[in-house]
Amino acid sequence: MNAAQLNEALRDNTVRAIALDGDHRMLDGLDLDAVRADPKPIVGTGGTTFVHMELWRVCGLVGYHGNGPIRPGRLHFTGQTKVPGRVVGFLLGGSLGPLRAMVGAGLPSLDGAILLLTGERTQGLGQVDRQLTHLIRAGALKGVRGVAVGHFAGFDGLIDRDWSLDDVLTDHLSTLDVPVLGNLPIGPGRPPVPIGVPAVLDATEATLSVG
Amino acid sequence: METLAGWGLRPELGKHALDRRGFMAGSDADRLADLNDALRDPGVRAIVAATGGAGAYRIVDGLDLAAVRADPKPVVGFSDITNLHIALWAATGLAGVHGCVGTGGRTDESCRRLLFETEPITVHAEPSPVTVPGRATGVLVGGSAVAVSNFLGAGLPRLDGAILCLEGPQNPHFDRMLWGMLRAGLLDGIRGFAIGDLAGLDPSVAEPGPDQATTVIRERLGGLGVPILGGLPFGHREDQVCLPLGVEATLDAHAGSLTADSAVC
Repeated sequence: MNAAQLNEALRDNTVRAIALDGDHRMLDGLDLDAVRADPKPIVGTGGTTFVHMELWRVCGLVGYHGNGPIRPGRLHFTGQTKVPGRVVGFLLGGSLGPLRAMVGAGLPSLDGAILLLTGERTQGLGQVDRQLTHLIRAGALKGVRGVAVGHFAGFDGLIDRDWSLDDVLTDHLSTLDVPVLGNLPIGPGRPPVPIGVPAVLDATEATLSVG
Repeated sequence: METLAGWGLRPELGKHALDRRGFMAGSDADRLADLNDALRDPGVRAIVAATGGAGAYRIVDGLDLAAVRADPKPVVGFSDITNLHIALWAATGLAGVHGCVGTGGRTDESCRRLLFETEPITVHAEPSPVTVPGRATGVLVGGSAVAVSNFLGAGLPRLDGAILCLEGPQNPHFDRMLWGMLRAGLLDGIRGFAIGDLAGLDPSVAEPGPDQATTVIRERLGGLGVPILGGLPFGHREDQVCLPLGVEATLDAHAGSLTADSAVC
């Protein structure tokens, strides 16, 4: 689906949800009036995070991070405690690469949010290190109340000079002084989770409740 | 080290240059301390990066800028070292050298010239599909495209009056980096672009895919109304030519040349 096709789907009132493989090119020229007139869930991971964050910032639209059918009601997940603690906030975020690519270029404020991070490998650990460094240096994670780390596709078994993905994530996320819950079954190939709704992250009990 | 000694210099190795932490040469604190020690040491007249500088982006906010202002000295490097070049230039206007030392040939010779001679240098470009004719004068800034994008919303204001150097091995995200630079307003007031090597292969890229960079530079930058000189021999390639940074330069995309002040004066 390209930007024009996305706009067509946004305008078509018989379309009730959009499964999207999105990218940054869809942001310039998005039909925001159509989104406001007839809001509908957009479901996807990876580059779809660009569309989720833009429409959250501009229209307050709730997106769905994941793949497959949307499940109604409150969702409960179990992960792995990285940094203990319990916080409440709006779940925001998605794929790390797009979040980083929007820094200084339209990333919404994450103040008060529980940050969801997932990923898809296109490069090595150095890329993840650059992305997290950029988000933190830019102050984009200021006010984040907790971090929910989901699935990073393609990093299984990747060790670069003794470091794994977990080492890179821990190295940065542990400096934020907020609860961090890892290994959540959220992200590429996992069922969708709403982005922009209230959530409770209990990293001590290793649970995340959304909605 | 041998090359530097051959130029009559007395090279000193940073205390932690041979350390290791994951894919980086030691902890952030130790690497930063080495760099700041060198910036503060009046006996040190230039700082030369041994490799690509993995993790350089992590220490840019701890640089001793007062020392740099008190005693400016060029930093030589490329790839992740572009992060240091940009941070130092943005804060203090420091000139530097994009490139490396020790690989021989014109790389070493151009580096030596930029560190020892004050005459302007001229670099000639190879024919390139991204070139847009025209002539521009401005301050040379940049290097690694990824490193430039690291500064969006994080310490690099608009590059008003600059000629932006961009290079990088094949990267699936080249388009979104340029999209981000444009959307962030970084390129407002830019005078021109000096494009280096775009064809190198980054071993960490899982699936390089088709060459995107040439196409997206044409699409995103070709219509900005400023000259673009592609095919300049700097970046991730063998036998690269070292470029001065943070100095006045004139880009003549019609003649295929970039003329710049030396890194020292």
